Amino acid sequence: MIEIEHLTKRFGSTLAVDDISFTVRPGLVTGFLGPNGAGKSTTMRMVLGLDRPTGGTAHVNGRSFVDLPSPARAVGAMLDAGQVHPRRTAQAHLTALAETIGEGRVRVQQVLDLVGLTDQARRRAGTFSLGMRQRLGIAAALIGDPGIIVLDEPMNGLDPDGIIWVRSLLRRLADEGRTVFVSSHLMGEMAQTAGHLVVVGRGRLVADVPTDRLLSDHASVVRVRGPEPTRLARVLADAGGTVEPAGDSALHVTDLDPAQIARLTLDHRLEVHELVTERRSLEDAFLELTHDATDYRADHTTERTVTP
Amino acid sequence: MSTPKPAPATTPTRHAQGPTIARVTTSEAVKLRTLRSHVVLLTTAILFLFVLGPVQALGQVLAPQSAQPVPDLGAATSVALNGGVTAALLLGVLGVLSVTSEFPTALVRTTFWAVPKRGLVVGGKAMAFSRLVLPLVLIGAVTALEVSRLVLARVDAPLTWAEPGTWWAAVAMSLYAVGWGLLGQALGWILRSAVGAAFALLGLMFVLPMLVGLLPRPVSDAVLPLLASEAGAAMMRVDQSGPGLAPPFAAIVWIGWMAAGLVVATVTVRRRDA
Ligand SMILES: Nc1ncnc2c1ncn2[C@@H]1O[C@H](COP(=O)(O)OP(=O)(O)OP(=O)(O)O)[C@@H](O)[C@H]1O
Ligand SMILES: [Mg+2]
Repeated sequence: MIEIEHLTKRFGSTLAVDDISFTVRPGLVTGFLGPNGAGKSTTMRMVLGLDRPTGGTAHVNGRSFVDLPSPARAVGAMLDAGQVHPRRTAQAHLTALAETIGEGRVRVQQVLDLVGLTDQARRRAGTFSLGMRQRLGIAAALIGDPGIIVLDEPMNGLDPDGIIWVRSLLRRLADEGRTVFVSSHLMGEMAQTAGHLVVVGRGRLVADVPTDRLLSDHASVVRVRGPEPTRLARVLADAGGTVEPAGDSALHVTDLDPAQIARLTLDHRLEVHELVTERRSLEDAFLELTHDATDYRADHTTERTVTP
Repeated sequence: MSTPKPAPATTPTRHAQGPTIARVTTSEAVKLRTLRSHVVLLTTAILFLFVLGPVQALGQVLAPQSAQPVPDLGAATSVALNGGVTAALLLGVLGVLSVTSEFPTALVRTTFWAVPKRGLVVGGKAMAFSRLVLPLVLIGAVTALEVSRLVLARVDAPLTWAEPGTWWAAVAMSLYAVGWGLLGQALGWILRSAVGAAFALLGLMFVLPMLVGLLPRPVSDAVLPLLASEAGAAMMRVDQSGPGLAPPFAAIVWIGWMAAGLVVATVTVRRRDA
């Protein structure tokens, strides 16, 4: 269990993480989503005690990471895959890590087997492909058989086979009851892997919801067009819809279904020329969530305000 | 979609299985010997130590008329340990690299994840370095002294293991060479850049004494013997007379510099984001 409360980090004039609070629970994969520069890596570094928060706390199993009696056995971590000396072999890298917790050859062999690098163990990490380096990073994270796993962009640069491999590994770890916290900037990828999503944009929390709900809330949009867009927008917004102009005097409406919209326009005697449901890609939903993240307060993040 | 499951039956608390100074030292020893560049530097340093002295001793024997005379034990040991300063320099660079090689790839983050108590990492690296290098330098110094003794016997130079000064020369040489490495490590932690730390180390050992020498006389006389460079040199003197601190006190000052360097390194590293 990872508990993050009012976590804030400022680098000079950049507010990298801005008063974020959420909890990562055991038994499922939690995706940590946000565009580049949203503050995902910084948040993860603070969880691991590598960066000192400007404010707030990040607790792991009830205390801060650095105070855990056996940190690497509690939390496995991979921050960017490059964090290996390029001229050291995979085996040597893992052995050095294993020694810090009193493990040796046996454990190193186990994690090498687990990630499928057994045959490459004596090669220098600098000669590895990106996918192999990701595997090595995951092997390092799992060296202490941790109950909590924190991975920063483990699918970055992987081919489809690699992505499927990581995905099934993450699910297996979660099914074993572990806490799995994985960042990504690709919504589609996370939607298929994670049971819960935490979305950040520009350092702020914009969503903390089960994946299913996020998908159903943002899966489709209704396009309405009529001669009186301003009145139409007000009526739909008053009825609880989220309305955005879509050009050509059309509106994009979410939070109301087509039947409700048709009834509203009939009740208000509004003329309608077009009323269609448009499917949206996951990436559209993601963009909608994170764009203008700074316009939303962290405490009512999942509720969209009306912008006719 | 993964199905949420309850947490597993409580994993046994494994308090006894976290990082300790002994474990971190072992881990850092693995890192030290698994980079080829480190092994090459260390080998070169030891080779210089036991080759240069005997070569100069041979020069004394083959061309005694053009060589400096070796009238006493001090002169003889300094011929035998002629390679020591070069070895110390190379070991200083090894000390720097053993730390700064973690920074370009941010390997240090992986290290601090595994060992969040950063003082343990600074201490473990210093222990691993000393444990590996000290015996090798000691063997190198004793070998250089013995080979030189055999060679210099031809010119009746007063080099003998019966003199405690000969043993002191070997021990002081080892402390000196390892000290360069530890100062290099401390500067590596503080500056995080190989080039920066190497220049700082050279500045500390070669430039600082010249600058202090420019100060007015009473001040420079008081300060100079306490500098790392001067204490290190005084420590290696075999005879008790001569300028500067007496060798045992010089050794204490020298070790004090290493300790101070590692303390400052620990404080710096603990305060910073990794
Ligand atoms: N050490 C640092 N010094 C100064 N600024 C930093 C530092 N680390 C991160 N930042 C800034 O903080 C912000 C958040 O960066 P962070 O790396 O956490 O984002 P991210 O969500 O991981 O992005 P990406 O998807 O690109 O990995 C960025 O504006 C970045 O420039
Ligand atoms: Mg990142």
